Amino acid sequence: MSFNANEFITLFKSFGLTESIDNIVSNNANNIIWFVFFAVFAFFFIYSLILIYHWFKYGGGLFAIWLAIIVYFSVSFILIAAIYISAIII
Amino acid sequence: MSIINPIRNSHEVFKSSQELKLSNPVKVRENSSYTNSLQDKRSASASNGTNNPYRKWRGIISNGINISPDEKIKITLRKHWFILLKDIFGLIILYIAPFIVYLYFFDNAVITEFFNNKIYARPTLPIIIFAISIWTLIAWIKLFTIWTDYYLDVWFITNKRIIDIEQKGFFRREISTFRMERIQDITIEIKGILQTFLDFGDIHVQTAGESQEFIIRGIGHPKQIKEIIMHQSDIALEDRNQIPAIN
Repeated sequence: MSFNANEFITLFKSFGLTESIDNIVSNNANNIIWFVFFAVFAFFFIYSLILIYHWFKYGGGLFAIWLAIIVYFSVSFILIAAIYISAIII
Repeated sequence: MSIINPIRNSHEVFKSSQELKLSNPVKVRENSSYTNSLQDKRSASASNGTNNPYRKWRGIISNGINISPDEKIKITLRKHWFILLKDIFGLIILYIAPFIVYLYFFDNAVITEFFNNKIYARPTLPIIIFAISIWTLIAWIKLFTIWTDYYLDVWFITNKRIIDIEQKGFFRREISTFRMERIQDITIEIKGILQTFLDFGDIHVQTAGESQEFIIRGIGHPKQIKEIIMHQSDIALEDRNQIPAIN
């Protein structure tokens, strides 16, 4: 089975919303980027709270839990920083 | 004797080999004096407030598990590491799938054409970093969700009971207990080449009365665990039989 780019383009073009989405995106690109950023950050924040709640309540404050917290938040901080910086540049 | 951590991986078995005469004990540790002291310190912790170093065990013992003073935690078990690895492998496949789809089925020409050749549609480096970072963050959170689910599924085998704590998602937690003297039969089930070579499987514990069969799934070293449970069950039965004789 070979890949045909034109078929894909035709397929996408067949969606009626493509033009309207295009207009929305082109007029609000900056707002959309920041909306996505804050949505992801809110998701991360809420999920992290739930994780920490379970780790502390049921994990017993053991070494593995503290290690998990350090690793989890270290990498998450780097990823959020990357998202934030790239959002500013965009 | 140094204080040991009662929570370990499923394949780590803490018990005196002299007492149990296990054929292949993985880790051997006598912890009865530790658990004795733990009970004493628990009482002290309740009265002394937060300065007690044994306060860290509060989470394990107080969450729906009431351990009597003469009850000792013999082993703490978790599922075999391969179970965790299998879940993580699924996540990795899910994580790399969009990259494979993008690289093999799309190119910049298709995407820019899709967005009517607008300049913003051309994926610049910041856009790529933005998208990849978001996707990676979501996968990272999911990874720790899987690990948390694995870590909070735990079995405590005490000298009196088997305590099964099962975490199903974030907001469903089931705690079951089975008394040692009610155990009638234990069957282990190791199926497949991986379970055979990695030495893990299921333990089916049949209890007396109306209780259903109790299954410990994906546990490491099931033969040794079976021996330990049987041994504790025998002791519990002997203790129960001695009580009427004394009275």
